[in-house]
Amino acid sequence: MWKKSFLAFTVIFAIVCMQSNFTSAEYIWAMKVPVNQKYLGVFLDHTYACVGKSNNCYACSGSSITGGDPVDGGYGDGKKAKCCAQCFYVYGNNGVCHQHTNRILYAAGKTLNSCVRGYSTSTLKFGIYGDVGFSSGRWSSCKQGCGY
Amino acid sequence: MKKCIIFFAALCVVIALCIVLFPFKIQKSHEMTEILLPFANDFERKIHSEVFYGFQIKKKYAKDAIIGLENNFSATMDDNKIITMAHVTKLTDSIRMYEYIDDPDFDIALFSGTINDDNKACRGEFYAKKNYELAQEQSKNPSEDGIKEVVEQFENFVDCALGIDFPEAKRKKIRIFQTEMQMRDKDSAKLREDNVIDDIQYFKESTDHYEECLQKIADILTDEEFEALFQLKKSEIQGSFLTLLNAAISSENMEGNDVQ
Repeated sequence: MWKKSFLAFTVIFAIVCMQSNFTSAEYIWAMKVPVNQKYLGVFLDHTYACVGKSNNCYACSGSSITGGDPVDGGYGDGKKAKCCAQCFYVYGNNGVCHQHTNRILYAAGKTLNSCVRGYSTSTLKFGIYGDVGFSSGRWSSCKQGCGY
Repeated sequence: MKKCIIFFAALCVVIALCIVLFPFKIQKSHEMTEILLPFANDFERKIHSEVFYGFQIKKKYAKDAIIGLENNFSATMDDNKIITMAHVTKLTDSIRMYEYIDDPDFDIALFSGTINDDNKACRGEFYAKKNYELAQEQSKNPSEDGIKEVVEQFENFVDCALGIDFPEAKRKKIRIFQTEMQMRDKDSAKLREDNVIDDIQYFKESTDHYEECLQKIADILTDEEFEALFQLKKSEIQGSFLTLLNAAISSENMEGNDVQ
């Protein structure tokens, strides 16, 4: 009886551990695509982020761009990352693609880096996560709602 | 009694194994940062505006890992992760930015560059991490409108692009101009909220605030400083905000873009 109880408990405990710690850890990464403005040339990069698989990518403003070069990535809770990707976001008010990408990277403990052209330009106005101005506080609240 | 002891001992072993093994994948990705960040901090103090190159390599090559710097100093890191300094005359010829390795077992990835290349790669990594930590810290005691946080975050961008020894007098002016822009945006947002102005007028005011702020910053920086900070020439300020907003759409029409 002891053996059976112990075995059952071990199996249940292992399943619980896997569910909570292991299966939600996915690779989250950001990509950058150069933008060629007609008169200014290439001076900034569009960014987007992907969670887990390369066909599970999120871009702000409904852009369907793919490809480009990797920027950075790390392992994090994929569910939380996907949740953050859906947080209230008005393109041009909360930020641009850089801020939206940072929100998804948050789960991996990462932000974009200076190799993204135009990042400092957008951050001057919108900050890292686009939580300033008329919708200040919404990102923080949404983040909490996603489990942070 | 004996059976109870054996049962609880076995249970402890299982719990310990679960804790150690299952979060392993998440722990591994932070190892590189833990190795390199203390080193980056040290060089940040000593080398000021010089660029720090980070070398990330697979664990089996750790013994020969080399960390190079723009001013031709390098450091080696041995198996015990002890870093020693040495002077070299030449960095590698090819540039490899941060390499994307779809390998859950990698500890660190290799990247290097030459003096004339985009040598802020590693420095950018360091400040990217710093930005995340700053945001974490700020979230503990957020301001009402988020302006203080944005201004503090931009300080890291100034450090990254212009070095930590960039004059405080210019930094203070950048902070003032940025805060003024944010306050003006806040006023415009209030007017929009109260329907005093429409979307078009709000967007126009927002654009003006931004480009005026950039112009004020351009007036206190040299051409090189401005370009290093914003990857933009002073003559390109007009229209830059609109281009930034259109980036997501413009990139879809980018010639030569690799579409998978």
